Amino acid sequence: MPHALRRGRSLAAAILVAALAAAAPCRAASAGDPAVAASRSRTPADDAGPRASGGSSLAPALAIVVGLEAAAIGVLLAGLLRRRRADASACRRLVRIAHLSSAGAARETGRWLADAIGGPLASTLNNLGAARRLLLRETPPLEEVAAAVDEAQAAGETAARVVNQLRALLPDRSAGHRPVDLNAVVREALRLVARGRTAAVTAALSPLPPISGDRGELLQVVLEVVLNALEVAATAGRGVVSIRTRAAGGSVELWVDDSGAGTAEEGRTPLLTPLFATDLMGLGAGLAAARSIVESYGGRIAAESPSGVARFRVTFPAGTFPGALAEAAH
Amino acid sequence: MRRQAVPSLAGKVFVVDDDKSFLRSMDRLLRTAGYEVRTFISAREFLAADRGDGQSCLLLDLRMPGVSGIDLQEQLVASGYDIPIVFLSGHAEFRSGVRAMKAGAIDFLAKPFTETELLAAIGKALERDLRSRAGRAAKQEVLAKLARLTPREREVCDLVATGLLNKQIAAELGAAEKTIKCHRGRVMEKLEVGSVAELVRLVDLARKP
Repeated sequence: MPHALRRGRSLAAAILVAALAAAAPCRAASAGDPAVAASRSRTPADDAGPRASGGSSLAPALAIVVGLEAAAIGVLLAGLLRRRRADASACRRLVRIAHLSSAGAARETGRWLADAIGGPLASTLNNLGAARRLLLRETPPLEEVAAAVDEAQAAGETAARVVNQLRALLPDRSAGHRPVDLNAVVREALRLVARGRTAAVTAALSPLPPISGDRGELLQVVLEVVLNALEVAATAGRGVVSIRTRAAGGSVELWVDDSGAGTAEEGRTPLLTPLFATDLMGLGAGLAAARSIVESYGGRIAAESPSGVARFRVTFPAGTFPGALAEAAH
Repeated sequence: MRRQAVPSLAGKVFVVDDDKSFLRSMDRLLRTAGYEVRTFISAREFLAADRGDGQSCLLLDLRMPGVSGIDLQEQLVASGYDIPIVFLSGHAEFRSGVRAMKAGAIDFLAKPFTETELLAAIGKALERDLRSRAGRAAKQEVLAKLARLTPREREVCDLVATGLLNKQIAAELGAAEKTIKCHRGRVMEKLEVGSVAELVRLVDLARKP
């Protein structure tokens, strides 16, 4: 099932990334960086500056102009704030839609599986039930018992074949794996979430050896973890999310800390489990998908709460690519 | 000796499913559990077969190529063939399930099911069949009794059942009270009832669908 889920997830990631990319022009206009917003809105005021020093006899007219400019700035700022709030909710909605569509794909796969396996499994159980009843007779008709067991076995093998077929249908993900610089992926993720950002983000990225993987999948993992942290930080009202990467021994680590409520001790495992109740909110399924990807890379994803922050620590084994470092770092 | 209970109700169990292996397994299990079983690979085959007249129930696969389980149920209802149906399905299809239950299905089992669930559903279905058969037999008996009445006696019978007194019936039918009393006596005798209450119950039963 994690495989099937992941398959749906890649689709969802594609939808999410495409949707966010499509909105890129808007993103530039209202970049989450407060400095940008401030400098843009300051422009009209700067224009007013030289005029103010131009002639002192025009004081009353100037006062009106400055007043009008101030009003205009106010309107602009209000609009900007409103747009940023709208952006944040639009971003959350996108994430949610992506999650729901992946849940839909998982549901379809599940339905198909239930249909294809339910019949043979019912046959197996029926035959075993019959065999049991026959054995409990005073003089068990052993040939009939053998026939029932044979059929139970045959039906069980049919179910097993279905499972193997399903497995064969799933593409071997590692085939498309390439050296990827996790820092580049993190920067891309930050660009994507900047638009709907609801909390301050700091990033400290150390030089890393490349890891072997699919850039899209890795982007999905980083997005899931970062969006989750942003969501939590925003909910807690104390918006600081800090992201760190570092190379540690033979592995590459990504830490995403948020200063929000943290991941409650008892909530830790369910948050990373598929079909957890928060599925409907989207985040449960998203993190579960992220975990599924990370684990398929031989990595780990863990939720921790060191001293008042919630931390997701994602660990990947560093790939071994002779001479590939320069290319990946590019 | 757990799960070795003899079926509480004997009866024929029809199974319609397009999966041969599943049909064989149902045949084996239900026969071992003491039921008389007949399996059919399609709805068409079931419709064409001589199904006899004994107490029975139908285990019906919801999704089959050609005539589906729901289609077969609709055809059976339309043709007045009253048999309790337990639906079987590869997965719980909610909409179809609701539709099937509304059309009178007894139960809905998703494959795979346990032996206990299966036998409980069959038990429930056969019990329903027993009751509806008893109901149909009782109604037949009542209708046969009512057929013994002359048209005039039937008129008097219906008016008595509405609670009218002899005098009122006489006025209604334009006859002497004495004559009505005489008719009434014969009605009670032919219908083999001893009181007006019994007569009312009998007439009601005849009117039931």
